[in-house]
Amino acid sequence: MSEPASAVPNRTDLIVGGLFLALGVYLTVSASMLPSGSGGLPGAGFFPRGVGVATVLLSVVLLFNALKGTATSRFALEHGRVIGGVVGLTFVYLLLWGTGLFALRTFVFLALFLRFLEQSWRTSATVAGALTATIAAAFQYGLRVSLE
Amino acid sequence: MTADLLTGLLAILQWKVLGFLAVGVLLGAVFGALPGLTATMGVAILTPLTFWVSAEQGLAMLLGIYCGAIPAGGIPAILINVPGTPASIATAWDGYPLAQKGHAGLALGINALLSAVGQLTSIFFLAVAAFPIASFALRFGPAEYFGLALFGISLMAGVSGERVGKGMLAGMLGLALATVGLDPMTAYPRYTFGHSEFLDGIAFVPVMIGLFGLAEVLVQISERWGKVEPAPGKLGRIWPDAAQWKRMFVPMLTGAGIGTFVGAVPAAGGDIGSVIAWEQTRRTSRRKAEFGKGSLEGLAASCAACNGAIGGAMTTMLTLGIPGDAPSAVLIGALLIHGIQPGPLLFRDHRSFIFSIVFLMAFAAILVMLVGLLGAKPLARALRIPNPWLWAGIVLFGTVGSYALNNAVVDVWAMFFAGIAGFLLRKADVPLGPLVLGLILGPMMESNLRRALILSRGDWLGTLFSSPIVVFFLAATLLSLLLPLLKKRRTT
Amino acid sequence: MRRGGWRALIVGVALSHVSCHQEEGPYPSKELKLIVQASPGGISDTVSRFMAALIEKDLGVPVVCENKPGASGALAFSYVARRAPDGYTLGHAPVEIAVVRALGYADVGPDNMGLICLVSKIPAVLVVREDAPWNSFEEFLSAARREPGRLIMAHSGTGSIWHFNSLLMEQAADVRVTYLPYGGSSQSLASLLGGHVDAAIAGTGEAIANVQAGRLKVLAVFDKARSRLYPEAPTSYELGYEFGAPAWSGFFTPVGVPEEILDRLESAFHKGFESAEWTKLCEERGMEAVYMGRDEFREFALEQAEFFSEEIPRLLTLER
Repeated sequence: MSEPASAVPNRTDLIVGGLFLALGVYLTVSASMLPSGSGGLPGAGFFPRGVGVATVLLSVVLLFNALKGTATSRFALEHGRVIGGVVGLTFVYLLLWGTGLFALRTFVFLALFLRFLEQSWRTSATVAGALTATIAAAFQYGLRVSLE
Repeated sequence: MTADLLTGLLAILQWKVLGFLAVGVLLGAVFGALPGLTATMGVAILTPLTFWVSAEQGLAMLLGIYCGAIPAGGIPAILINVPGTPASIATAWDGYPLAQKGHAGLALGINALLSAVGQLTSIFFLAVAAFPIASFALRFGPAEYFGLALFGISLMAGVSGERVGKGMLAGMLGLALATVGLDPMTAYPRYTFGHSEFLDGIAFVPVMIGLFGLAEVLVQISERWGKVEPAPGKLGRIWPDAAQWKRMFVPMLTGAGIGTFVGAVPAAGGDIGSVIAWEQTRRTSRRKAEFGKGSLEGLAASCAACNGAIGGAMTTMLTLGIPGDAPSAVLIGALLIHGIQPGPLLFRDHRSFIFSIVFLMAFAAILVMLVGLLGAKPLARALRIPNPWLWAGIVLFGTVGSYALNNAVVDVWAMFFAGIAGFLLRKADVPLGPLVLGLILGPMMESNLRRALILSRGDWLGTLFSSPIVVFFLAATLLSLLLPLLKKRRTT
Repeated sequence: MRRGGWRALIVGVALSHVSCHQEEGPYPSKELKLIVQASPGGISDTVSRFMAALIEKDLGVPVVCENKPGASGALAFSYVARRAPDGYTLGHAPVEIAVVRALGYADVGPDNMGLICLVSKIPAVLVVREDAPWNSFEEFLSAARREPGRLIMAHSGTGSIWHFNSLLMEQAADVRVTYLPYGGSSQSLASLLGGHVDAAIAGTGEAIANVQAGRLKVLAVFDKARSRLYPEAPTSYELGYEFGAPAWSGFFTPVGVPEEILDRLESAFHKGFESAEWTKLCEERGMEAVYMGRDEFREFALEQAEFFSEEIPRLLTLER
């Protein structure tokens, strides 16, 4: 707590470095199970292995710097509740993709989305209606994309 | 020569032809401005409509779409940080910060003006030096493509700003994602986990929409939610003043030149061209710190380059019958339907037709510029829309656009997860530019390295020193990696 | 305030609910969908969109093309095969319908499709640069025989039909070449023109521009009959090598579509095939206009599927 800021390991960078290290190890290991080919005819595992090794090396460098506490960035998730809500709403909308009644689903999704972002019901419904109409006109009738 | 030029011009100076051109330009602008709809798609979908009109009329419409879509792709890049087509990725890097600072009008104006400059420059090259450019493009074999890709990868450090370490890691993530699907050489499935939807890899456009669209919405919510929205400032001027023109002059020429050449090389298009032009301009600029934060030079270079690629791609297509990028590949099909076979004979037997194309493209470029300038003010006002409305619109258009691309639900999910990943990465201060570079360049780098090794029968040195072009790219790569280190040494 | 908002919401829901409900009349009473297994712009897309425009005239309803690319077409084939057999969803059926099962991409083939007709064929062509030392297929083969694996040949991708044609060539002529796979014929031909490889294999139409311009020369067409595009070029069969697997284009529906609807569709496609526009398109894109009706196409496609499921595993191990 009382240590000078520069000596505190950077937690964000430690986590990022750790995740990338895991990715690098996974790539290296999984690539070695793909056919590796020969010198003159490199196989499917050749390139992913290279990328994996490079990722491991680079993430070790990042972890090293993070431990020294040289970087200054901090991960901070402001308004997590609002973001969670928006992501959750979108997730449900996508889950229902292709189940029919595209226009109705889209309208309800947009209206809830806007209402969640503290627009009045009236505004939410109007904007959602306008957006739904635009998207249906452009994609369903203009480009003949079949949205269900 | 002069006679051909006049015949070519007269063939298109008809109301019908020019009308089709204008329709094409406007349609192209719509395709370009909507993320998820690309110039390629626009040209392909409207090709059948041209079956039953004359060659000049059909071609006028298709060229209009092509020339209209690329500049229009810069509009959402500037206004909402979502590139409308992959070619305008680099336009977003400086255009969006510029708009956020209250210069949306100026950014849109520059996009309109310099796109036209880029197109006109490359069309001029097409008219006077088609064959030298095409034969240069043909000299790109596997080793040369590998060199180009390697050079592109080395730009990752440059586009990362001060976060080089994390930027390089993001680049590796891009390269790793690019390996998903059938191996480009032996067609061995990699990281598909048994799903045939992944055999063709992860579609690039939905990932791009997620990384820059959905992620941008989430970042904006986390940064602006609950804060009073600042009163909308003045729209500002659209036309750059003399001092700004002076600053943009060299980047503009660099961009147009690089764009033309990269566009002419088959399998490399405006997306790669504009990133290279942006980074080249940054490196030689005296105001390096401004890049990525609203630099006029950066915006000028990227706008000119992604449009320069149009003329370059058309050059290779018309002279060799080999497309320089995806939209020109579709154009070949349309030309064939009208009984025109692109290739070396076209220049011998149908010179006036070549000039018709040149004039059509030049008219299209000017028309797009006018549309862009007239539209700049009303479009810039779009930023005054309340934030939640804009966010809802971006999420909706991003979702439907991702689906429309291949009519595949898996693309919609790719957009969604790329959006969440992009948001978390940005919050952790990991730059996304290198990730996109990795995604674009990964397949090119891997397949060409492996092709080059097949050709040299496993001899790495033979591959790396097989031609002056490869050596040039290797030297450029080394320089771009070592120069920043040397400079740092000197300053500390 | 609140009540007003609800009213707006209800009006919106009601408006968005107005969908195009039509009375079911005699077939076809609403628009048809034609699923294309490739991206916009390629030959499959052109053939499909062109045919769609032609049958639209006869059927009197719109025929809308939808691209569902992926896994050599396997995604689109399985998608169409799973649709309701009401005759309103059609699919483009290229040679890949006989190939994807052998490649292990999806368990779908001609046996779970309702084939309508075949409309065109594209044979493979072996091309070299104009300044190449070989002037005939035989000379090329003996050079390949002299130094096995020395000659480098570009093709449009591992598992593509042109790749199989070159493997069939190796097998029939007992030669070995080294392959350089590209992502499509335009790239493999560019590589040949640029002098990076010795030969390339592509579709007849894909090479025509540079052959006519005298930059490439044709050594052989891998088919039984001579190609209309290259009347001078010998075929593999003429030269005594009995191989050649042309690409082709047809159309299909899910299994179980009523006979009278299939009749209606087949006659619409046949009319489209007979039109002058179709003949012209085939000439310009370097395809042979060949027609096979329902039964003939079915027999042919099953035969092809059997051929590929036998040959592909063997050919692919041959390459290793």
